[in-house]
Amino acid sequence: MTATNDIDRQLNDFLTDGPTELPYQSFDAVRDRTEQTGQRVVIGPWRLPEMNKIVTIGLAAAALVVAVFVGAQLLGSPGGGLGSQPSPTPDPTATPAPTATPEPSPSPPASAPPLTQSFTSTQHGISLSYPAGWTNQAATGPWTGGTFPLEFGEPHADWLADPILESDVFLTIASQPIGDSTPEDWVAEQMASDEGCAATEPVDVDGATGLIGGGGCDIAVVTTAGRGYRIQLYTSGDDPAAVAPYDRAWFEEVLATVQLQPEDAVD
Amino acid sequence: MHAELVEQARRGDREAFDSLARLTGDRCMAIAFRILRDFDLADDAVQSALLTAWRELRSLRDPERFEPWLHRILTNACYAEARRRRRWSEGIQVLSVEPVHGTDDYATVDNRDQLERAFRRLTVQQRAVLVFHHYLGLPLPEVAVRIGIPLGTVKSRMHHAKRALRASLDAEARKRPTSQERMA
Repeated sequence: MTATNDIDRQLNDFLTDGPTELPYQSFDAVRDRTEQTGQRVVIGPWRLPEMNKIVTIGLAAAALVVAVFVGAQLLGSPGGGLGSQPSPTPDPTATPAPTATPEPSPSPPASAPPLTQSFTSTQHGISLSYPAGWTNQAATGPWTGGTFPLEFGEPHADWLADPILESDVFLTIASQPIGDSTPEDWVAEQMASDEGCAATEPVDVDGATGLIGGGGCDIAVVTTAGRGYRIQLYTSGDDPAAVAPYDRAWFEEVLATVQLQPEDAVD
Repeated sequence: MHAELVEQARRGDREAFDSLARLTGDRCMAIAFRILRDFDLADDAVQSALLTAWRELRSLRDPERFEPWLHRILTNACYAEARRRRRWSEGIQVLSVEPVHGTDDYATVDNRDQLERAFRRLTVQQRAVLVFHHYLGLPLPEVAVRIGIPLGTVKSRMHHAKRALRASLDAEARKRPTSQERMA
């Protein structure tokens, strides 16, 4: 008879058998593909293992001088008032390369605008608060694809964007029925896609459970009542100082305002 | 242990990443095969995971945790491969593998085949928990970290997986003729 009272031992033996080496051709294939693939730029937290302190101080001082100069020009010009830019963006010709300057501005925006506007998506069955002054573009069609193409302004998602930074900072929202997938499978598939997050941790959004990305990947994927939701904060790496306030803590503030209404979604 | 290579790779050094891949790839293959029970799927999952790791390496905060981080990516890649296979095989009726009955010399092989069938009936998520715990020998809290799920979920999956295995093995044992019946 098959012994079932020692399943642990059987499992240990069973799992010992099997291949333990990746074919060398596979290593070569990975190498070839990395040659054609860049690394994703991550927005903070910044780590500078190789940055020379003198260079850092010099760059910060240069940025400060430029900021003071620009500020003086603005204050001194008649009718100029305070500039319309939300952040003191120095003259790019005097600003060091962004890759070498994690915090190029000595005084980035202190905080993001308050979440005083409310958006309700009739397409996707979700409401949330978003910053004052932001624009919104409601979805005009259902999200039917398996995974999420991240093209700004796609009609299958709702887009909430900073009016100035626009494609540098935005929230995007979409939902779809999870079909035959289990909630765990659906969430895992989203996170495993090219537009997902490598590292994840559990999250609860309005009582719906799922995963949220880690390491600067601000994507929350949750399911409730047979519907999967994907909520993403996108911040580009083009102007780190300008997008600095839109960090994980801010994203979590937004998520805390979310109300899921799967019964109201339109497919 | 690969922290220096990780740091170099994070700065875009492809040679360093190639070295990292060669240091960790075999172990990834062993894990992926044991989860997916298919060599080609496992190969694809490992390649996909390594490529994702290269692309996302800058999001790894602690270089010392490269391998656990890679294993989490690998687990997700295994889930994706399993789903891909499931979609591909939709509509194809999977033939059940009948137990091989022969002399008692086959008893061990027979038990092994039963366990293989029972293991394949588990969800890929359940298999992953068993592989990380029973093959890698990781304690359950570390399994939770590597797979990226709460500890309670690990325990739950472990419980259900073993219960399902026992039920499958018991069912097969009831179907299998005894030695006397075989001799008859």
